[in-house]
Amino acid sequence: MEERLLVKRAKRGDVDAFAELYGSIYKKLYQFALYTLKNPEDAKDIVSEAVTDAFENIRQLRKEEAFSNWMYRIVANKCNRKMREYYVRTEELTEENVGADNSVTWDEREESMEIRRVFFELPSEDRMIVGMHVFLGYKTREIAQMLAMNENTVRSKEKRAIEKMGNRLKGLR
Amino acid sequence: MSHENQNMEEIMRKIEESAQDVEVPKELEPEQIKGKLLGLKQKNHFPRRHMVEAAAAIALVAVIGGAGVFGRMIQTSNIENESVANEKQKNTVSELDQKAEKEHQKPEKKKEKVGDYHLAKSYDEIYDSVTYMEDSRFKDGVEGFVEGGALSDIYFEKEKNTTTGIVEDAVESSGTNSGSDYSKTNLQVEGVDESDFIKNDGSYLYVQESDMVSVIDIRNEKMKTVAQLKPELDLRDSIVDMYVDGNRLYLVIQKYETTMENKKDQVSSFVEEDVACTDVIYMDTKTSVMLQTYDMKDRISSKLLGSVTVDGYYHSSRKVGDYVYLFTDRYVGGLMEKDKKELIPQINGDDVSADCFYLREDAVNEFIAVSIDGNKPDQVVDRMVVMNSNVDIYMGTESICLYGYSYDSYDAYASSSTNLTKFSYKDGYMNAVAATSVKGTIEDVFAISEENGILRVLTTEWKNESENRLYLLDQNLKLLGSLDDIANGEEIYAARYLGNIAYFITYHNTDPLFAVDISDPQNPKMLGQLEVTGFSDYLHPYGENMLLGIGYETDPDTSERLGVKLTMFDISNPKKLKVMDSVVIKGDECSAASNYKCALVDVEKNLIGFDVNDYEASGSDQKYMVYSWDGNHFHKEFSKKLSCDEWGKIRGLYAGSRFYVVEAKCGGYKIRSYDMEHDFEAIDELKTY
Repeated sequence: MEERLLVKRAKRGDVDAFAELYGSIYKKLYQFALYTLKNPEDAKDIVSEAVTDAFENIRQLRKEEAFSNWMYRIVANKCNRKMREYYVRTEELTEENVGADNSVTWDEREESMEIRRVFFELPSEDRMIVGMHVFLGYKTREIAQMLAMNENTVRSKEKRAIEKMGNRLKGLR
Repeated sequence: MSHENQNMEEIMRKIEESAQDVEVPKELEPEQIKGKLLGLKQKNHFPRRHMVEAAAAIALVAVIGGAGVFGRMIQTSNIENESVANEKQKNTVSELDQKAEKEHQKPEKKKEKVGDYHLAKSYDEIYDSVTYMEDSRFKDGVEGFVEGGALSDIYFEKEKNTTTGIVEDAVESSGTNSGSDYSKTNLQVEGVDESDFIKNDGSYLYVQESDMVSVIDIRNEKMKTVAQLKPELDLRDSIVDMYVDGNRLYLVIQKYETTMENKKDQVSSFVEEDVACTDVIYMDTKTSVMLQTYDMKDRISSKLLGSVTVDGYYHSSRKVGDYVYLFTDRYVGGLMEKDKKELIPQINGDDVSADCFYLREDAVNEFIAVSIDGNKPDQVVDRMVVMNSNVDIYMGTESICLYGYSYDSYDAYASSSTNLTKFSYKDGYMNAVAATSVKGTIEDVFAISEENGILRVLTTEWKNESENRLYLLDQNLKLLGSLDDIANGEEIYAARYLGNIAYFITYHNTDPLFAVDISDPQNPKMLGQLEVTGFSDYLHPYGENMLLGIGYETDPDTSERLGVKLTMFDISNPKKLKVMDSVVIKGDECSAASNYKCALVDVEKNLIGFDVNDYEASGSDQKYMVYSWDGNHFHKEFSKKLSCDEWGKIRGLYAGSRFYVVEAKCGGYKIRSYDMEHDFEAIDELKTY
């Protein structure tokens, strides 16, 4: 069904229509939240909260805006806030915290594990920037707008983060 | 592509791939999510942040080891005792005569049949009217079994309640701001008051947060918080709306009460043998809405005059004169037959009597309407439970109209229709009048309106090509006349009924403004139309002969938004509609376009206030702007950067010669004042956080 019509239905409280819209993007939402926050519990909570928020507020969705973009924005904002919370608590989750959590079944595949490990070594802000690009398909300019940063800063942060990852990966081999 | 870029792309691709095998938690799967959303209420354009985490009737089942139970149970009873004490305290605070209930005038008997609805004769009839769920809830619940420690902590924590009012020193200065020269909440219908998070009475601002209301003295240049009203709230409760009328302050509070029941016997068969199980505590959330009425005679202290509690989630409310009409929703779709008694909502702890229920087949929701007289705020004047699917509400000066939608089938292109049910109201008493249905759906809150007993409804029907229609219905909702085939392929974006003319905007690629003569309701006539680029999302009359549109400029070819647009239409001759002037402001979003409460339009003061959010700029570029209208042109008077962190929680208001910009920030509000007589020079700033 056409997205526009699904949105219309969802705006009328149609849960099935909403679930259909959500169903096409929820994996990405979770992947993004997990990769940004490194914490499966928080990632789950954030997506879950975002769903409730989105459903309750869907009538605010601009008439010509895509549902997916809107949903991405909600999740990205929530992750951003959560990260700030970690920062305030000065207990950003360490590698061990992530390792200690068994609720996510990490795949056995070596490379994926390795990439994830290296990705998780990045500072939280870098993870968010790269995550927005990779999982949500945002452009540098859009990321800059959402995070209230300069476009060039975002670009160079992203570039450096990826470089860092590249070097680490090379080093591991 | 450079080598470096190639490398970057490669790593990015790998990151994406590495996430492919991440297992998404079961709870997030679309089917699971559905269950969570059923019963949630969608907000009507006005975001309220504090209700988001609320999920209706999500049951938590917990198996608790024996030792743990004891301690927890003791705590539970403590809480109960405490709440009893609170209740007692409240009663002594109340200055109201409890006998009043008996002396109260009896409402006229409710009409027995209206449209698909009929008045219930007994509770049994109510029980028989719904479809129950099969008894599988426990089975589902078992999957969610957790052992002792994981029992929701929220239940056992209890936040310290701060009782009413810090009292700062009283300032009884002879203020410069006084009288009636101040702005009020922008309303749908003149004479039917609406709630908002900020209220202004010319001398004081009342700002509502989730747990308190600050009273700010604005009679002098320096703003001063003179009181903070902190109602007694439980941990998850929050204030969601507010009214101020003279000395009286009304607060709408959403309450969540966790109930616990030992259902060991009922679920034991599902429990696996290796789980040591002594008790099965079944937790449920009961939601209710409380209306508290306070006296704030001196603005420094407050006195709780009384409160009324109604089951359900807050839907909306209105105030007409001294009467507050409170509407709540209760989702009853997932009920099992053995719990059928839960169908009967409570008001102030008493079951609603059967003869207040309007029943309909296949209802999954209860729309509960109660009225409260501000002079007797401990009791309800009248009550009504309308069993339906999901409704929106229009409240005019004489009647309440519930409207919901139905579709012929689940096919997106099937035709849709709007079911209208009309209730009369007067001095708190409500009664059904009539019901009907019309084709299409109502796309804008201003598209439905009643005047002199005639209900005017503009709808858009979505089929292969959208169709728009105008309906004119008499007092009993009998069709008087209609106008079909308006702007096929487009959708109604904004509407306004002014006197004998219905003005509305439809949009697809460009924005025609239509004017329809409705002076003869049997024969509505298209008078004129005017095509301009972009679209208006909100229409507000500006003096006798002008209509202001707030909306967006768009590219006619791509429909891409180019900016926020103000348009002034000349409607002196509806047959020859003209654009007098328009301005396009760089930006992507304007809350005032989609939420009329964010718009400040005051002809007397010549003020047009709204916010603009520009996503293009690097960094957040949000601003509040004020325009005036002079010499057939818009003039920019004021533009100030905002840092609001909650969507749509921005208001511009004035008292005397001072202009105030209020924005939500850090869970509280930032208020700045400006001198309108001196080019909006900054005066003062106050933060409630």
